Amino acid sequence: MTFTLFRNELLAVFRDGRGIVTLLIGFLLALISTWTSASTHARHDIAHDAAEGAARNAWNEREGDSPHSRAHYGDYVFRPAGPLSTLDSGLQSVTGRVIFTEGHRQNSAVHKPQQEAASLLRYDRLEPATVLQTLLPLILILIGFGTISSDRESGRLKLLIIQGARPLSLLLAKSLALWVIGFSICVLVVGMHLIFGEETDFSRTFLFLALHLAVLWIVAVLVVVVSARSRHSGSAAALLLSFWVISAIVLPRFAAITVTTLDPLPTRDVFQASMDQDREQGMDGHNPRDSRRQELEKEILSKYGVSSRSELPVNIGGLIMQADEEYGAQVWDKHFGGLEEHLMRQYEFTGLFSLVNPLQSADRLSMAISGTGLTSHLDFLRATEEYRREMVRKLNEEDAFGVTRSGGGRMRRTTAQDFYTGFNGFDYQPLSLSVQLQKSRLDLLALCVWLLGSTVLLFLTGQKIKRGGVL
Amino acid sequence: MIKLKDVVMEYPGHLALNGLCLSVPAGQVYGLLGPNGAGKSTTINLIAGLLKPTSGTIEIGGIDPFSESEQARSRLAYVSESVALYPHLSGIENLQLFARLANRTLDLKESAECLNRVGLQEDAHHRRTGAYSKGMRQKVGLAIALAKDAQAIVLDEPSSGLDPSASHDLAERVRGLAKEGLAVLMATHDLFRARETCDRIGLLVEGQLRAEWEASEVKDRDLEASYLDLVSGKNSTQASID
Repeated sequence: MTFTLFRNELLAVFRDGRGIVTLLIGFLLALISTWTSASTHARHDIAHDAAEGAARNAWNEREGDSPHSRAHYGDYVFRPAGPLSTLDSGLQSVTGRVIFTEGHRQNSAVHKPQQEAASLLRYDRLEPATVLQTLLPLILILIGFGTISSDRESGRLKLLIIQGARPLSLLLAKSLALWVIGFSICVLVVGMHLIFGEETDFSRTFLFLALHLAVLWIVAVLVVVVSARSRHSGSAAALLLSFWVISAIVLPRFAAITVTTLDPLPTRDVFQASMDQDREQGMDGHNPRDSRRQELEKEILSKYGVSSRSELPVNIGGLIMQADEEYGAQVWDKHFGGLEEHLMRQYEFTGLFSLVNPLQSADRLSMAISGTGLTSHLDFLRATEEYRREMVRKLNEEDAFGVTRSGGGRMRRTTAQDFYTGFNGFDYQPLSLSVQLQKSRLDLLALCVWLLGSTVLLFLTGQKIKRGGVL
Repeated sequence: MIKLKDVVMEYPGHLALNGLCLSVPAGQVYGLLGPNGAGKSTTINLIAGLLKPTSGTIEIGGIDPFSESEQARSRLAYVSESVALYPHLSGIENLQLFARLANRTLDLKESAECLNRVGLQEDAHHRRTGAYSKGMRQKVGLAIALAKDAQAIVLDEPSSGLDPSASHDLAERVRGLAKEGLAVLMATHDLFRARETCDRIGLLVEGQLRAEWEASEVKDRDLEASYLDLVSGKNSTQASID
């Protein structure tokens, strides 16, 4: 019986001009978003590869630098786009994927896509995830708001029930029909990703598909339940559109405003000033009059058993710079560690809103699966800093020990060019899927609660119809 | 076949039915007359098992329609005022779909025969019902009831909005159903058609059966005057109440 009713519902959509038009719009959005996202990412990837190659060449071909000058010359690190970033670019347009690393300082990302977007491109993010999480639920609402209420208004619902249709079968059939429409658009999007994507992570792609199918089931069930429990199609439409506006537009902003009001992050200026203040407590490696630097010099001379810098077998500048660097690293760890904790606290707090908003849990889980969310970005920052420290440490060590002393105490640098070409550059490995999902436990829980809750609601509504409660 | 005994149905703050007793045996057409709000729809919903009576008993072929709704509904067919068919399906497709819900599978030939039996012209069988007239939809509604092979049928204002010819045609077909042994309960405002069609007529006012007449009793009676008197509460007409 459920299959008979399900087939009839699908037939209604395909024979109904409005259903076809809405579906066509859905397919068109899916195609456009997948195509534009894939082409944008391909363009970015080409630019990234070219820039990465150019930066590497520039580093390798540069001659005559001392290791210290090379630390100041710095290096660019490039983050890979993320396993499913063509489906969901997440926060990458805001956080950026390129960081300039150098000695003495930690920089934030540059060349962020959002900085480069023209004002006309304010709404340029029509990507597959936006279509699946925001527009597809709206399409399901538009197709399905009258699915039961119009049956009741016309008297067909009563006829169906007395004729022998089981209410639960009817509700299931209508939910399944709506879900299948969402399913087909979802599969089209993911299928195009599999066909046209350069590298495919099948487990992530499968999870991405499963996540969106689960969310679309929740939306389909809610549409049917609201339609069944509303007196008129108009009130069902109003209620469902309100749900969409609140879930897709209002609640995510409200969550962000709430968390920034209750637990605000320090501004960039305050954060930087606080870091600078702590940094000033340390040593200034570039200032010969700095008392802490002078103290360290004494320690080094004493360690080597000499009385002047010219007697040292090493370049004291390199050792001082490394000490300065290590102090700077402690300051960064303290401040960035605090900031990371703060950001994660905010992230977890906003996660509570997923319990009342299934579209938010979908958004956050989608970013986690795609490797483009906040946790991925923080991990990238950490990895970048580790790379920067290692690079600067090697350069400082070479600066200190890559020298010889002539008889007159004159220092001669022995650093060969292949020392610099031996630097392999930054090779970032994204967080594994299991770690990403572990960090998204609350969103997973919220999704399960919504899946279970909506299905229970479907059963309860079936019972209500059986008893004539909504006829 | 359809039996209601001392049925009381109370909604919060409103008594819809107050001790209703009526019986429709197999082969009889019972006309349930009454003004708007008299309790006709509540009676139909109770018979269909869509509501639980506050007190009293209801039986469809000896089965309680509320506690054993699936069994009771398998014996009951329903034709509503507007017969809301699926407009995207043809007459035959609607018939086949609704028959399947009643666990009956009709092939094309059987479906066409069923539609012919209720008088739907053949050239309309494969047309979508979105373009049907109300009379044509009523015929498909009757075909759906027939295909169910039910023992009782409830018609809710079946002649409302039909032209005299279609209404007469419908009355003929309802009589035909009774001749085939079905118990027919017809809720209607149409006094003329009720007198033409029904074996027995009951007048429901404010949840109570104010009068019941056999067909022979109303033959020469001014039914409209009796109706108006009873509805307005004058009760000047001699009415037999069982």
